[in-house]
Formats: sequence, structure tokens, C-alpha cells
Amino acid sequence: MHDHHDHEHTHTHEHTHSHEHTHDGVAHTHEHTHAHEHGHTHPHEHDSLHAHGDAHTHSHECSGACSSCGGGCAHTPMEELMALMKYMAGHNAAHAKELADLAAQLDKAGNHAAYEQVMAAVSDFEKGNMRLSLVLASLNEK
Amino acid sequence: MCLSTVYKNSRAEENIVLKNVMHIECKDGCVICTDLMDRSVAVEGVLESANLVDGYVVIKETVA
Repeated sequence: MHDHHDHEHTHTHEHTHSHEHTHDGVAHTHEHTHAHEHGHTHPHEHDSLHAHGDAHTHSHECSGACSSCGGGCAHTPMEELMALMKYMAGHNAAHAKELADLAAQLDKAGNHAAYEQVMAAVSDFEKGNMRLSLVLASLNEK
Repeated sequence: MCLSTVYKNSRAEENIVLKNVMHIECKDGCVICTDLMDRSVAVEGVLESANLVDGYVVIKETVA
């Protein structure tokens, strides 16, 4: 945070974007670092952009409102949804395998009843994932 | 292998930096997060915590 000051100054920032920043409407003169956030989208190289001393966040969050966004994303919200579903299908398959491995360990430990129950859960899990994959395939055709 | 939500400073909705993060790299004083769609967000700070069970990461911003 900055103290209030009543004198003017100029300062330069070595970064490639422009932004407004006010400090309670009062200009001041001293060397400082400050934190700021800005939600615009722009191409950047991290090596060059972070050569200055300011702490900041570059936010590229997608609001999903494509018509009013100048971000120039390479994908639509539907493409993002599809990517997430595709990821989830793969993710669930990996978890199903992990569960099956756990079941095998239960069987090896002599608890065959528990093994069967967990494998039944794996089967249910895989059924759900199959349904997800079918939806994904259907969406891919459109 | 779960995707994570990245927050800055504390785990609050208004502090979300990026969701569905699949890759995090710490480089030159920045934590660079990349999501499933290959969007990247760089935060000047350090990785404070990562909860891989609940799928969230907190970055402590560096503010001089």
C-alpha cells in the first residue's frame, strides 16, 4: 500500500502493457513497487514481461461471453466444455483402474467379498464413464 | 492427476486465478499456471500450498 502524498512525479514501468492506476487520486514522488491487476488479454512472453519490479497477475479467465470479449480466444465455450468432458472421461478411466488395483489388493489380502464389492463399484463406474463417452461422441458428430 | 483451481493469497472465490489447471511451473519469481485449454496465467509470487486431494493451489503474491 502507498502513503498519501501531495507532490507530483513521473515514473516509468518497463512493461509492455498500459494501465490506469490511481492512488486515492494523489500523485506522489518516490521510487516504489506496487501491485496491480488487470483483466485484459494480450500475447506475452513471460521472460520479457516480468523484468520489472511490480507484482502483478495476468488474468486470462474466460467469462464465456464471446460476443463482448476482445480476447481473441482460439476456442469456443463449447470446445472448452468438450475438452473438459474428454479429460473427465480419461480421468475417470484412470480412477477406475486405480479402484480395480485396490480391489486386487483386497483379494490378495484374503478379503474376496470386499474384492467383489469393489469390482462391482468399478463396473458401475465404467458404465457411467461409458455413458459420458457416448455423449462426447455424439457431441463430436455435431 | 486431477485438475486444480489456483487461488492467490487465500482460498476465496474472488481470489481465483485460474480453474482446471493442469500444469504449474515456478520460474523467475513467477508461478505460471496453465489450464486445460492451454491458457496461461503468471502470478508473481511463490507456491504457498497445494491440496491435491481437494484440487486447489494457493499462490502467495509477492508484493514489495
